Amino acid sequence: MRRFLLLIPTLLGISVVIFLVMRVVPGDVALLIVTGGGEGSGGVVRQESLNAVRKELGLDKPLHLQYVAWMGDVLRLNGGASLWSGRSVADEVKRRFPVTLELALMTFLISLLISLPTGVLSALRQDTWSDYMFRVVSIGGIAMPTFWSGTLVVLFLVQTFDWIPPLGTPSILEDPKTLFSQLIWPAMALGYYQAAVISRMTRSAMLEVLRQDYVRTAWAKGLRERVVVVRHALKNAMLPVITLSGIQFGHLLGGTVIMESILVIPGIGSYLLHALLTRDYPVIQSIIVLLAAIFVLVNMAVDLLYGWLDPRIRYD
Amino acid sequence: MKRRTRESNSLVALGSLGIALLLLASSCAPAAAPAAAPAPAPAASPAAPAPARPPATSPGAPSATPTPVVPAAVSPSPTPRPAPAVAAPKKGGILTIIVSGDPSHYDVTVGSLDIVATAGIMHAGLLRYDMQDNSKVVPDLAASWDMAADGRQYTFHLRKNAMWHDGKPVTTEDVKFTLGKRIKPDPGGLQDTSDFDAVKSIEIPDANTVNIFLSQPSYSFLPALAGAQRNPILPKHILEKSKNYRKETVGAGAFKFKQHATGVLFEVERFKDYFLPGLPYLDGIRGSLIQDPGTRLAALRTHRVQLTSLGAGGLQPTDMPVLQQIKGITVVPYATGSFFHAMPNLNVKPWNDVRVRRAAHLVVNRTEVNQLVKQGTAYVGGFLLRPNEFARPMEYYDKLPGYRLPKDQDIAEAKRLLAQAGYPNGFKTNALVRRSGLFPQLSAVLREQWLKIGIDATLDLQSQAVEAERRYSEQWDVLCCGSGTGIMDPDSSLGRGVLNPLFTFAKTDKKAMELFNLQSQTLDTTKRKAVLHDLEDYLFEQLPAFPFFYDSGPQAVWNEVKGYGVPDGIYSIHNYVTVWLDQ
Repeated sequence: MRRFLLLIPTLLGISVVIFLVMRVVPGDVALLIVTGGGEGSGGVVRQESLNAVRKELGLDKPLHLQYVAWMGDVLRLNGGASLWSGRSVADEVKRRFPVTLELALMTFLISLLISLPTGVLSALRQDTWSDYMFRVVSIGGIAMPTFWSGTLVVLFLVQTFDWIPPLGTPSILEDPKTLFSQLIWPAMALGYYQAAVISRMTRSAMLEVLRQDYVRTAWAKGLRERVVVVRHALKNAMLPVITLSGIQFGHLLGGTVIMESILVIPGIGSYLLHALLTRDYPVIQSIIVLLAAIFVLVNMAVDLLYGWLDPRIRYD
Repeated sequence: MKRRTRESNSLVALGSLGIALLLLASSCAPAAAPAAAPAPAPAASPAAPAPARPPATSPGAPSATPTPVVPAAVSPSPTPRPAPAVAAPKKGGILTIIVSGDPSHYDVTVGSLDIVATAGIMHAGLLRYDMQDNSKVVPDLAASWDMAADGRQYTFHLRKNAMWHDGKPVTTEDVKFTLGKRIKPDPGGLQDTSDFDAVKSIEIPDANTVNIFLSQPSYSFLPALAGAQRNPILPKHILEKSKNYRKETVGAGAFKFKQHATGVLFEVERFKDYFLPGLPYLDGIRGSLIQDPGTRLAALRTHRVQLTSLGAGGLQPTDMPVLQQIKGITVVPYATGSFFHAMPNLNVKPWNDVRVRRAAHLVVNRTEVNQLVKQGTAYVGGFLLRPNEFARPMEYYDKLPGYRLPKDQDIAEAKRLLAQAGYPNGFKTNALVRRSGLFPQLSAVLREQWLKIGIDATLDLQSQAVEAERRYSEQWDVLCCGSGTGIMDPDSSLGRGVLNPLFTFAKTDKKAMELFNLQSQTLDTTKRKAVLHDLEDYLFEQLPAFPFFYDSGPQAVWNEVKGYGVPDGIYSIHNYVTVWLDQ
């Protein structure tokens, strides 16, 4: 309960920081609106136009009043409206967040399916050729930037099948097959990176646990390898892996922006990126606070999972 | 042995898992190249009624004052155009196009390409460009027009059957109100524009006639009116309430707004009350908003989309060889009208010294710049828009200092000038560069070339938001930029470029502005050309900017798309009225 209540000042602090940062960062949203993103007609930019736009958007008010107005929108759960289009942030988030969540979950699942077995095997077969192979592949995954792997995915599909996933993302209830065919590719590209990171942690954790006395005892008792690894070793090795996985999942929710841009996936990441480039303050602020909240909640869930996995750990 | 077997079993299991994943993913992609799926065309309708052919020029009613022929707006592009379709057009089908960005709002007057390429489809202007030959201006909302002999009065005769998408009729009040708001915009309203600076007053003598009076003749007045995607006529009943058009979607074009899923697609559908009977042929247009260049090319190759929207369609010259190999696609280069130059700040030392500017101008190898940045596909030129009827032939520039090859003579002269100006070893400077499009590459090439004479430019790459802020307040030593030409006319290319009223040169150099105003008012093509050449000569003396090239780009169209002409000009977005799908 106490940890849950600590969420409030955490988010409050984040909201203040992001609000102030956006006001300090160079780039005038009124100028961008009046000139159409800086291109515009190349004509005269009149100060009265800038002032009128600032007044229309409420940017002429003192900062603390702007903050209060925005926080009011946040507490009403609508996040305010885009300075450019006037669309409600909440409506956009409702439309986009499920897409990002679906992509993140798919990525997470793929990464676990790959990373856990490879990490365990790598630890069990330490210093054999299979261990070296898994380590090389996982280092490759960590080193490969996602924008490159995303581009490779598109190239692979075009060259091999003369096909790319459908553009646009239907709802999972409307057309799950099309949604799956669109998301599986970026999920695999992203999952490779996630799997590489988790696999290395799994290997390290397993190596440490396998050296423990109780594991040696289990071997000495003649238990089968599967029993020793799964029932005795893996469960204890999972604690740091769960921590890392939680952090990675949190990152996924805001970190799929590159993949979303490459594959035309209307998720939270591309929405945030567009807002950053156009200095759409309410969108940026609301999304950052939302992602921060999700990140903190995910980490809380991870901590609770700790308690379930390890009865020695208890929280207030 | 047992250990090896266990290891092998584990590897087999892992390998099976990986293969299973790949197979699962592959099942989501077809084995053979599919035809992409635009919406299936309905059964072929009986031959569509022939559309009323709009007159190429305005016949007008006989009047007391002679009615001279409307001057041609721009010269025909030198690039060959696809021949118009000869088969009978078929009705139906959804055209899929690429747009390279996401429109932030719907006010096309602001001129952002993403907005023009999407929301612009919904609008109509008084006139428009002939999509088969955009040197011609043809009727749109105005069925015909007359021009007085002195070029200071235009009379437009509005169509009687034009409707707004919300069902209300288009009236002369709408025309007067919209143009009034462009000439004297409300603060925060429609975008300021210099396109109508010459307009003195607008009168409505009757319900279907609009008289526009100019304070001086203007060669580019009709082309400016023809840019519906930048200068549309908007409904008074909406505009007077909302003041700007950022959230409004009502137009009078052949297609009306259907949906905009941000980051994904922008869709319009046929407007059944469009003023040209039998048109448009298409049921709708679906614009896929694709930011990544690789994905755009992939979408075109795999037939997910059927054509690239001009300007915001975003194909590169390097895409052309790939596309030209694909059966079923026609690739046509077009002139975008975008110009690329570097502009020194005349308020900053040493750029305020014309000898320094001349040195920097002489050393640039424009052929090399074109090759490195545009693979040789751009139009190297001076201050006059190319290709254009007023531009000089390339042979003229090839002999000019700064353009001639080899560069030895120019480099030697540049060093001499710098020494004379007091910078024998060059100097350090700062170049503001927008981090988008070709600007970073161009600035990098420029920097390398300037280093040959010791000008050491630090490239200050900034995001669009920051660059715009600093550009408009002249917080730079050199501005490495360019811009899109609003209309394919020197009025626009010069007015938005080197003679932009925002910058010092336009504010202070009387001679340049006199020549600029003179050419703008000269309706005789030959005389205007002479004035423009004088202006260019003067600009080469003063060098308020260093021109490099005028951009070109490939337009790609799948062959089932018929009736689509490729107009020049980055803002000459097609209205798709005569486009149909042969499928």
